[in-house]
Order: sequence, then C-alpha cells, then structure tokens
Amino acid sequence: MITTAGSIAGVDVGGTFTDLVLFDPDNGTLHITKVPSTPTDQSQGVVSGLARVLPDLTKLTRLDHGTTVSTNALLEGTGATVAMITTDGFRDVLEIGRTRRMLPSVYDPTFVRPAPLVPRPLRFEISERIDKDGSILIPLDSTAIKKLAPLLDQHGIEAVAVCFLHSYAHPSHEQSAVDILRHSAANIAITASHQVVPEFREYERFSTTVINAYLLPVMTRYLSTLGDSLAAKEYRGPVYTMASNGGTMDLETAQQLPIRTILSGPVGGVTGALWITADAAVTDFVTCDMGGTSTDVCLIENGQPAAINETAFVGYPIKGRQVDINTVGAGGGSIAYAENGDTLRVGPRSAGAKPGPACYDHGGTDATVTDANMVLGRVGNRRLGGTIQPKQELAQTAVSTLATELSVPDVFRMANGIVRVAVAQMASAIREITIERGHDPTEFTLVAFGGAGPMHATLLADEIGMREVFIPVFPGNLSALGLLASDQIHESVVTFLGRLNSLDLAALLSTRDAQVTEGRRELIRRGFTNDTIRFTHSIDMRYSRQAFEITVEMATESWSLASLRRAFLDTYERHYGHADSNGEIEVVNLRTSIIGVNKKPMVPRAHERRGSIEDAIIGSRESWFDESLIVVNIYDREKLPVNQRFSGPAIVEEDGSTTVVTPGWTGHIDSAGNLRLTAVH
Amino acid sequence: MIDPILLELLQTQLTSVVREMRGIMIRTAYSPMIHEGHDFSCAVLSATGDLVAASEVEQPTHISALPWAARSVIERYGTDIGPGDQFLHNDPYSGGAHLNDVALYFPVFHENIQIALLGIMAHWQDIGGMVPGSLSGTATEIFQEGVRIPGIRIRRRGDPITEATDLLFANVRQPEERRGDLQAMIGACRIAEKRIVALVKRWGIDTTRSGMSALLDRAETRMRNSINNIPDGIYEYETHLDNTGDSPEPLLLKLRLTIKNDTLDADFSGSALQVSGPTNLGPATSTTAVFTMAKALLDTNGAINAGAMRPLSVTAPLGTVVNAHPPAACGAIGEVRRALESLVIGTLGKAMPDRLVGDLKGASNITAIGGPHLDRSGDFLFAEFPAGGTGAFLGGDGNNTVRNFAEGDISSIQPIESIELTCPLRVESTSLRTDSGGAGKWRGGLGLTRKLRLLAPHGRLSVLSDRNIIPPYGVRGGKNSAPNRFTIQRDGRVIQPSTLPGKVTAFPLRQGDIVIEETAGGGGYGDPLERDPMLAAHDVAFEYVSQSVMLGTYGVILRNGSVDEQATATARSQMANDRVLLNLQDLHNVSDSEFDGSRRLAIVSSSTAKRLGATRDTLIELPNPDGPSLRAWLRIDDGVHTGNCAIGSSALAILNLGIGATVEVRLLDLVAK
Repeated sequence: MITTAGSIAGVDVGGTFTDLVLFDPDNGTLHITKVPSTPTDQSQGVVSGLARVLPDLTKLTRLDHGTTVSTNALLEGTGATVAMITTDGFRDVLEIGRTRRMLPSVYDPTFVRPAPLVPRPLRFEISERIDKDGSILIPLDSTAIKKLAPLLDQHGIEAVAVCFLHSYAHPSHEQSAVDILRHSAANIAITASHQVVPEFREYERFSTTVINAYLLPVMTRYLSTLGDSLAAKEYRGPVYTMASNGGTMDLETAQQLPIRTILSGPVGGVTGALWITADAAVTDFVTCDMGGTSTDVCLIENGQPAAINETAFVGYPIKGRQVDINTVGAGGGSIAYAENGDTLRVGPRSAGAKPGPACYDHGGTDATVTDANMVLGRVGNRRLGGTIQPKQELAQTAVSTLATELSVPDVFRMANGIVRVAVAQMASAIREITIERGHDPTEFTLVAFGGAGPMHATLLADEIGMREVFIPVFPGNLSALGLLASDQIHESVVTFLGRLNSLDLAALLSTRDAQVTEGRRELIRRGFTNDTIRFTHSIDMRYSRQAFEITVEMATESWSLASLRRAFLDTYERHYGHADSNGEIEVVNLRTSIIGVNKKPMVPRAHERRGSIEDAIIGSRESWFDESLIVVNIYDREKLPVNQRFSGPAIVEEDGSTTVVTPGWTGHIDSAGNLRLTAVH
Repeated sequence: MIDPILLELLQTQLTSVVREMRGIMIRTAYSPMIHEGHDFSCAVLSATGDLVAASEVEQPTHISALPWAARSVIERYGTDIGPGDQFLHNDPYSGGAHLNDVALYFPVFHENIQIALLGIMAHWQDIGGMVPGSLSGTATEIFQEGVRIPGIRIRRRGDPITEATDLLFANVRQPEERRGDLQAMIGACRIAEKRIVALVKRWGIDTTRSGMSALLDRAETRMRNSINNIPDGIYEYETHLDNTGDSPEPLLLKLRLTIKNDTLDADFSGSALQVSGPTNLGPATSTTAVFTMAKALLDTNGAINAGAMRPLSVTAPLGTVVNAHPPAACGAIGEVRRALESLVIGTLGKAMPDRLVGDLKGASNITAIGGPHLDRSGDFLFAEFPAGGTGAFLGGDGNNTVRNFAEGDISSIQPIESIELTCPLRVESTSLRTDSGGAGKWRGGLGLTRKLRLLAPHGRLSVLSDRNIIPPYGVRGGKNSAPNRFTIQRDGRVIQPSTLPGKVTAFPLRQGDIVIEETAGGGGYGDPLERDPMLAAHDVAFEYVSQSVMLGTYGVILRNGSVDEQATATARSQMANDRVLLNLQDLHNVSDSEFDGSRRLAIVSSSTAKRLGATRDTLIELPNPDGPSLRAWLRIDDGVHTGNCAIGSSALAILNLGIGATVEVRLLDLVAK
C-alpha cells in the first residue's frame, strides 16, 4: 500500500480478472493486484481494485485503462438501437457489403450471415449527392432530415450514423446533417462517417461508423459511471483508455470513438512487452499472450509492432490503424474432445471463465488444456489466478474420460497429446504471421506471457524452432503494465487517390503540415509540450489496377516523387519479395500519427538477489516429460539469483503464472528480473 | 487404430505447411488473380498423387484437378521421378482445370525415398492464346485459349530444363511476370519441402507415411458413415445451362446418383454433347462438383483429401460438355462447374430432403465496361462479378447477395467510391432486389440491383453469365428465384444488349446509358403457403417482398400492419384450391421423344394450357415435395386428355412418381421487378 502523491495506475479489465499495476514514484516500485472483474459494470472492479492498492485516490495523477466494454457489447449484441442516414439509393450498401461472408463457412449451405447492425427499415435514405470532386450533384434535403427526428424517437433510436458517399473528402453534407440532428434530436448520440474514418471505400467506412454508433451509448454510459465512481473517491485526474493502435486516448476521444477500443485489452500486452524488451535490447520478437479462451500473437520487428489498417470483427469490417494481433482459439480453457469418436480436437470451443476447466470445480466436466497441464504435473494445486483452488482429481477424471473415448491407453499420454495439439495450433499461427511478412520465425525471440503463455513457451518455441524465450517480469499482469508505459496516439488520415506520376506534391506536403499543426495544437491543449510530441507519417500506395494498397512508412525528411517511389518499391519488395520498378504507382491515403510521449515508470530492476540456485528451490513434483514421470525441481521465481543458470526440466512458479522449462532448455534471470530461456539441444 | 494424438498433430502440421505455402504465394506471386483474387490452391499429395492435405480455403475448382493432373505426371514419368525434379501441367484433357490454371509439382525426398509430392495450381493472368488474359467467350478450340502443357519436366535432379520453360514463356504475354508467378510457386514449394523433411525427421519415415495414409483412411470412414446414413436408392435430376452463347439452345445436364450402402456413384450420362464454345470440361471437374457438394450436404466439416473421395465414383461420358474430346475449348469452366454443382445439390438432396437447399445464382456474372477516360488519355476497364442471393434451407432463409458456399470468399463487387474515382462511371444505386428471392416456407436470399451510368462519350459492355433465362430452382415446393439479368436503360427505356440474355460481347454504350446489373436470388424451400405469416409480414416491413407478392404468392393478409389470421387462412386455402393439378400420363402415346433437343417436353391439351396461362414452349415446372422442381417446355396436343399432363418416363423417375399420379403444374415465378 502506498501513499505517495503522483502515482499512476494501469488497469486491465479482462473477462475474469481485473489486473492493476500501480507505479509508486517515490521509490520506483510497482504494486500489483488482481480482483474479480465485474462484467455488469466494469467500473466497480476498477474502483475496488484501486482501493486495494491506493486508498487515497487524491494521490493518483493518471489512470490508464484497458476495457472490454466495446468488445463485449459487439460479441453479445448488447449495443444501442442504431439508425443510419445515408445517400438516396444506397441504404443497402451496409447489408450487401463487398458480398463476402467474412466468417469461416466454406461449404456450409446453412450459413447465416450476421444481420447488419442497423435493420433495413432503420436505414433512411436522404436526397443528396456530392461527386468525387466535391461538386454538388443533388443538394442536401434538410427538411427531410428535420422530419426524421420524431421518427427516430418513435423507434427508440439511441444513436444515429450519418453515412454519405464521398464524405471522406467532402464532408459538408454530413456536417450539415449532424448539425440539424443535434438540434432536432438532442437526446440521440450522433456520429458521422467523415469523423470516424475519413477514408474512401464506402462500405468499410459505413460499417465502421455504424459500429461506432452502436457502441457510443454503451461507452458513454460506462465512462461516465467510471468517472462518477472515481469522483466519489475524490479522483478527478485524467482517465485514459487504451486504443487498438497501441496508444491511449483521452476521455473525450474514447467517448466519441469507442470503435477504437475493440483491441483495448489485448494491445496492452503488446505495449507491455515492447516496454520491457526495449530495456533488454530485444527488438525482433513474437508475443504470445495465452489466456483462458484464446492466444494472441503479434510480430514485432525492429521494436515496431506489425500494424494493419483494416480488420474484421464478428464478420463486420472495421477500418482504422491498429496493431496486427492474430488470435487463435487455443487457450487454457480450450476444450479437448473426440469428434466422430476417433478424432481428437482441441478448441476453439472453450470452457471460458464459467464453468472453466474441470479442475476449477465450478461444474465443468470437459477436459481442457489447463486440466491436461494439471494431470502432467505442470501446474501445482496452489493459487491459480489468486483465488481458485484447483483440484487434481477432477482434472484426472476429465482427461481419462476422453482417453477412454479415444482409446488412448493412459491418461498422461492423453494429457500430453492435448497440450501438444494446442501448441501445434499456436505454432501454426506464429509461422503464418512471420512468413506472411517475409520472415523466418526461427530468427525471432518468443516473448510469452498471460496466464498460460509461460507454461507452453518452450514447447511452442521447440515446435517452431525458435531458440530464445523471454518471460517478462509480471507475466500475468503484463497488459496492465503496458498501460502504464503507453503513449497517447492520435491518427489522422486523408485520402489522396491519384497516380504518383501526376501527384500534386505541394498539396500533399501542405496536407501533411496541416495534420502536424492540428495534431500539435490538440496535444498541447492536452498538456503535452513540444518536446514530448512526435509525429510519424506513412502513405498507402499500390500499383495501378491493384485493389489493395500497402502502407509505406515515410521518414519525416524531404519528400519528393522519387523518394515516394523508392519507399514504395522497397516496402513492396520487402513484403512480396519482388517489385516492378516500371509499374505505374498510385497514392491512396496519407496517414500521420501524432504521439504524445508520456512519462514512463522505470523498468523495475530485479533486487540484487544473490545466493545459489538451490536456495530458490521450493519443492519438487512428479511431472510428465519425455514419455515418463520424473521428479522435477520447482523454483520460486522471486528467489532465483540473477544470471545463474538452471536446466530443464524445471518448473518456475510465481504469483499469477507458472513457467515450464522443458528438457533441452536452460534458464536464468536477467538483471531486470526477466526469465530468459535458451535452447541447448 | 493409429494414435489419435499423432494423427491430429500430423493433420495440424500438414495443414500448417499448406497455409504457409499460401502465405508465400500471396506474398510473392505476380498475377493479381493470385495475390488478390486468391485463385490458387496448394496441397500436399502422396508420392502416388493422392491428395493428403489442403486447407479449407483452397479454390474449389482445383480440388480434384490438382491430384488428377498429378497422377498424369506420375503416369508419364513413373520411376524416373527424383529429388530436385519439378513438373508443370495445365492441360484440361489430362486432369487440369482450364489453361490459365497452371500446376507445379515438386516431389519431396528424404534419404532417397519419396515422401510426398507438393502441388500448387494457380491462375496465371495470361497463358497466351487469342486474347489478352487468354479467356474468350468466342474461343472454339483449346488452341485459341493458350499454351497447352501436358505435364512436362522443367527441372531434373536440380538442373533447370530451360528449353522447356523458354518455349512456354515465348508464348505468353508479360513473360517476365509469368516467370515471377512460376518462381513464387517454386519458392513456396521449397519452404514446404524443408518443413516436410523436418516433419519426417521428427516422426520417422514409417510413422509419417502410415500417419498420412491413416488420415486418408479416417476421412474415408467418415465419408462412408455419412453416406451410409442416407437411404440407398437411385436419384435422378436434370438442369440446364441457358445456352452456349452462339445458339439459343439450352444445354441439358443430367445426373443419376446411386447410393448403395456406403458408396455414392454419380453418372452424368445423357448430358449435352460438347459444344463449339468454351463451355466444356476436361475429365477432372465433374468429380470436383460431386465431391465439394457431397461434402457440403453430407459433412460440411469433413476433411478435404483423397480418402474422403474414395467412396465416390463418377462417370462423365466422353464427348459431352462434362468430359469433352480435344480440341474443344474449355475456358468457361466457371459456368459449367456452377451448373454441375446445382445439379449435384438437387440430385443428392433428394436422398436427404431435409438438407436440400434452394438453387444459387449459377453463373460467374462477369460484367466488364470499358471505354475512354474523360480527363486523361488511355482507356478504363471496369470489371466485377456480382454475387446473388443464396438458397433457402430447412429452418432458414437464404442470405442476401453474398458469395455462396460453393465459391471462395473474395469481394465480388467494387466499392462505389473506388469506381467513381477511377472510371468515368457514376453508380446510381446499389440495392437489394425486392422479390428476387425464391418464395417458400423458407425464402431464398435476395440478389442485388446495381445501376452504373456511363459518363464517357462512349464505351463497351461485355457480360458472361447464365441462369438469365432458366432461373434458379426452388426445392420441396419452394419457388424459383429471379434470374440474373443485364440490361441497359437508355433515354428512359430498357433495352437488351444482346439477343441471348447474359451473353454480351462488346455492346456499344452511349454517354448517359445506365447499365443495370440484376443478380439472381436464391431458390425457395417448401410451400410458400406454409410460411409463417409473421415472417412474411416482416419481409414486407423490410421490403424484401412486395405487398403484391405477399398477397399473391404467400396469401398473407395484413390488417393495420398485423396479420389477419382468419383472412390469411381463407386466402391460403383458396389459393391451394386454385392450383393446377394434373394427372401424369406417358408421353410416348403422343410424342416420339421426351426431349426436343435439350428441352424436356410436357404436353397438355389446349384447354389445360389456357388454364395454366401458357402457350407452346412456355417454361413450366412440376414442384417435387422431396426434391427440386422439374422444368419442362410446354407443348399443346389435344390428343392429351384435359386434366392430364404427358411426360417422359425419365421425368417420372426424377419425380419418383408413376403414371396416373397427380401433380401440380405451374408457371415459373418471373414477376420480380
């Protein structure tokens, strides 16, 4: 418990637990705690968790948090009742999309496409049309919009998405429509496509805007409840929310653009890993954040996480810059089952938080990956996630039931098989994200965290052929830690479609300068100073006739048509292995990220722990390795002395996580307290 | 029984190899059809050419062509296949798809034993021939469609045989780019080779091989069990392609499926003779249609490998459109394959009516508009291939305008803003096509209507489509959906851009013309009079269905916005009574043949024709309570008793009815706006 003023807190609200990390500036230490999440009102968990580590919230100066409010609302279909106002003749763009199913469904004649978030009768067409060059083909029918207001009320509409064609460059009609609605339908949340994602391609923009509208009331409710609860505890400082791009947003932005919080949870792990590894000079790695239901993997190259500009969520496209996190349905709670009586399957079905693995004794009877690890003696029966007391015999029963079903002669081989299949799936995901970008995964370090990541790390590395594994400090709380280390990032994008040869470079540069000026003004308003503001630029480009563009990172220095061309060819070559230097190139979007660099807590140093490896042994256990049960040492991570090696097989325990070091690996704690594992076979 | 753990690991690892090959192809291939259209497939085959592993997203067109062509290479080179060899193939007549789909085969050896054969089949943007892109609706011989590669060696024990590839690249357009495509295929195989060898080192040769064969055996058992679950019997059905493009005659496709215990035999005998246009297939593709649709109906999540195909046998008679003699042109594989899929679904579905689905749009719908730019020199080319609605099924309506389960999952229409930014076209509207879904207890999904106005002073329109005349079928009494339709609106009038609907070649467009794309909906499932009136009312509220169709087809009557149960029941029973029910009689008393060319005949008296509201050659249908509706063309002959319908014995087999049975005869539903 701390009392110093100037503390900052990172809070990661997960499905089961809310993780808190509090930085105490007085002595540079971190305080960590975990409380059960409160799904019906996530803010309760945040406030009660804070109260545990910092009773006096007046000492807090900043709160960074990651929330799954948006993600859950989308998954559970509990967002707002939304209406859409769109250009006459185009209300079905939202329903037809690009005619893709976007969900796994090959060969399924009974596939049902998810219904659009706005049903057809609530998609109102308004007479208006602006051409691609901004000329007005049909003036906006303001009267019709005014007349809509009572109709919206009558349908119980909570939010409206205004989506007109070509508004990414020519937003005047959308702006007018928003103004009219603000007057005539004051109680309804309104969002317009040019505000959410001012990029061309109407369906992706409309879809993103509609989802934003769907989430607006939910997020506003949540953030205001959180604000009220914090205010009741006398905290009136800033509350930041982690965004999908790996930076935080202030309260106002989060309220207007909840769409940007879809990855709010998982991205914290990536920023946490970036922060911890930077100090250890590890720059090329793959993160593996294994939780209860799934595993998130992300490629980091030269200290930069891979980013994408479009993704899909439950079948709906979402545009906007975000960290490229690939999710596989293999987690600790993934269920192993027999399909057709003879085929072993692991996941994507999951026992979730409730009932959870069989060994949790919450009513689950299916064998899960966690149960398999329990049978193998890799998880002790002490502290799982702080509160749950797992029961070995329940895991045993679940796994042996499956073994009987599949005629596998013994329970250990069955359990081992379950773990290996889950690992093979994760390995497959990691190979894909590295090979897709032209890399050899064996040249990367595996950074494993999350509740179950360290338990599978060396197995996973072996499956891929990776030689180095990095288990950061606080692997069970890395997402919350990442929140503390995050910067504010704002994205600005302008569509600039045209051939590179005939590009108006002066116009491009002045647009870039305007993005910089506007971004700087905004960040200064938010308390940043010139020396804590940075900018990065990129341009989406493609060969003419291609439908998809690649994002080309641009240095801030002098831009010329030749340097743009060179940058495109280099990036294309890196991405696709070749580039045609004679091909005609098109410029599509200009992107600028405006970064407000936050003061970071110091990376925690390991205490100067001395003594021998043997002193760290806190017990031993029979565990299954290499086809037999052997007695292995259990080390307490807190007691491991710096830079002294131990060999696998071994188990390293700490609060919130267990690291399994398989045979053929050695480990040591580095000076920062990270657990470094190296293949020696 | 082989260890299920080992099998699952092997399966995951092999699928992972295939996915990596895909990733490398997307990353390194030059042809946009590959890296954007994803028109390619990767696979791990056994040394004997059996398909062992493919991912779920391989192009369905290639599923049986890839191993079929591999076997022809193996047959040719036999024991002379060694480490460091590579082979190329694309000839439809020895197992390929169409000439643009070029396959590379790459044997993998470990300690001088062949472990596997890697295969990639990919659509090259051009393979030579009479037009850029190689595919032409006017080709009459395969020689016009590009270079034919019958399965040749291009590398021997590591040494490239450049004479072979030089000859190939001397005969294609943009040869450097095509070399890039080949290089991408080789690169993907090289990485996969390393992975397969690592896998063998890990498991050992014997375990790997026995594991691979156990994966096939397991898939075989699974497929056999699925087939065993459906009743034994002979199931027949027939469908048509609208025409060949150079003649208005429809093309008949016939299928006779025999289910016996755990085997399924598909016999396409009786299908139309090969044609002079490009709507012909080589020997492999009919098997693809049988396998993919059997998987869809019997076991959606089943494996895609040779084991799963073992219980299936296919007869595709030589000289017909489903297995043509050389040198027939084979470019339009997309149209024929879709027609076959619809035929297989309709036939197999009769064995398992609860899994039947309404028909699909049944065409590729390739729409191309070209012409001069307005504001710069050079020409623009706009192309898209709009999707349609999907078929209704037991318990659910079809989806509106979406790539269907028999297709890949890539975009089929261009973004409006992208079209307007890059072409002198203005999109006037993009909307769902009201009433285009086939009516039924479960309604087919809606197609789309898209209107594109030409802003340039002139332009040209080409369309390759089918199901413009003979619409997608409904099943179990469900009605047909609206057919695909491609028209021009000029000066406020709608005009036809071709004499044969759906086959448009370079129709001259004028400034201000509006091209109207209308895609087919999905077929309906079950009797529309049994549709839950609440659902029908919902359809009207959503304007998926018009008021008049709700009344006239569904018999649902609303009062003050809610269903009037009483009035609806009365209306429905009246409509059921008004149906034209006829007794079947044998056609041979009045006609020598069941068919006129490809057209099945149904003969009625003049007064019956009048009652139906039909004249000579009107397309009619006989709904089947346990299958898809049977289509026929009406003939009038007063030698047939009023109240009777004379029809051939093969029609009786399709309907599973005998002489004297009473059936409904009705006009097709062609009311869609």
